[in-house]
Amino acid sequence: MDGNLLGLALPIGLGMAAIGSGLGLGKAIEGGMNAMGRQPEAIGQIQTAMIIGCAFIEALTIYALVATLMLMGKL
Amino acid sequence: MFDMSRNKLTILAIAFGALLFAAGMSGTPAMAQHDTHGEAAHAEGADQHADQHAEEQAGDHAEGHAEGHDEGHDDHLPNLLTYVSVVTPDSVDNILVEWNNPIFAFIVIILTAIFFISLSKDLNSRKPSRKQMVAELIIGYLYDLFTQIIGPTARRYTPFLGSLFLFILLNNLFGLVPLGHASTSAFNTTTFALGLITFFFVQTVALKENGLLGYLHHMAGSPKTGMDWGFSLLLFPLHLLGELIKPVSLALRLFGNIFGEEALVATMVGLGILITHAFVDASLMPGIPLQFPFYFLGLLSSTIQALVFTLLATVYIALWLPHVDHDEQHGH
Repeated sequence: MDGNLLGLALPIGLGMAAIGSGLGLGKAIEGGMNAMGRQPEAIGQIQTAMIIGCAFIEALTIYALVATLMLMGKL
Repeated sequence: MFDMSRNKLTILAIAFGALLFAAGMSGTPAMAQHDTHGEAAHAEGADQHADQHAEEQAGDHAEGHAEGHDEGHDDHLPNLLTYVSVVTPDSVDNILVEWNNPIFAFIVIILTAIFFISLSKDLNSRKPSRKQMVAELIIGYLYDLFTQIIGPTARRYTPFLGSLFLFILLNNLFGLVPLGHASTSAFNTTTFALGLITFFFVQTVALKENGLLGYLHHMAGSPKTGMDWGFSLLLFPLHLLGELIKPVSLALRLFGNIFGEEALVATMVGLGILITHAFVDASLMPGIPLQFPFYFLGLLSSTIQALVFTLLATVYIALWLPHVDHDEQHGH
């Protein structure tokens, strides 16, 4: 019974995390692209800042993935 | 000249594609055995049994070394050591499988060291050789990257951050090489160690640049007025916690990405084998290379993750540096 519930919960949780960070990444990259279009000479700096921001956003999904991988043994 | 280099590029690209293809195929036979072995329990279609003991052993080892998971699902393709451990006696097998990640990290370290030592052998600032140009290109890129974030003092930290970048990048890419294995796909042997190293480096830099009092002042949230001092009691534990969590988050991010990528490739290899075995009843039949497109994803994420780890380490250093540097940088 417990295993069955986990089997349902893990993918749903991971999917929810992915939805959130997908929306966040979309917004971040939208802002980055706008900035790059407006100021093409600052592309290098904007890109660096954007990648760092993306990493922070993406980390949340990765935490969910790590939790999933850890709990997968209990299925 | 451009045409010539373009031809070379084409050849390089084809060779690289073949290499990637071989990478997937090299894992196929052992995976095939392992797959049918596992599937036989609950699928009625797959009734082939592993007839070669050696191959089965290889598959089991691939299962056994899965980092920290007792249940052992297919996380990685079998690598060089998995095949070597088939030949060697049992006592050596365990060592090989347990020390899988450090061994591959050492292989990468030795190869990198040989490469860069040979690059830096005879340096000449008047007439740089081709090798020197390559080395200067890499170092120059890294130096520019760190200067963007830290400012003019970045040269001091480039040796550490640059080696971090190269180590992670090459380790990640080594997972895509046939019979290779990305040692960064293990949390407690590689990525956590990298996080720890970064933690100690950042703290050392912080203590050196700020002094002990400045360090504590920064930890308390740089209080100025009386009210700030009141809040510093609240902020100090928060900052302390933040410092401790940063390296763990770095390590988890790298581990999760690379592990996920390797697991994806392994799953796709297994799927390809499952599909061929539905049509052809032969245990050594290679699978459809479904994993092929994911190698390109792997190339992309390997590079980005190495960059992200290094950039975040740079940012953590930049956060600790005295703020005078920043004003100087924005001044002009």
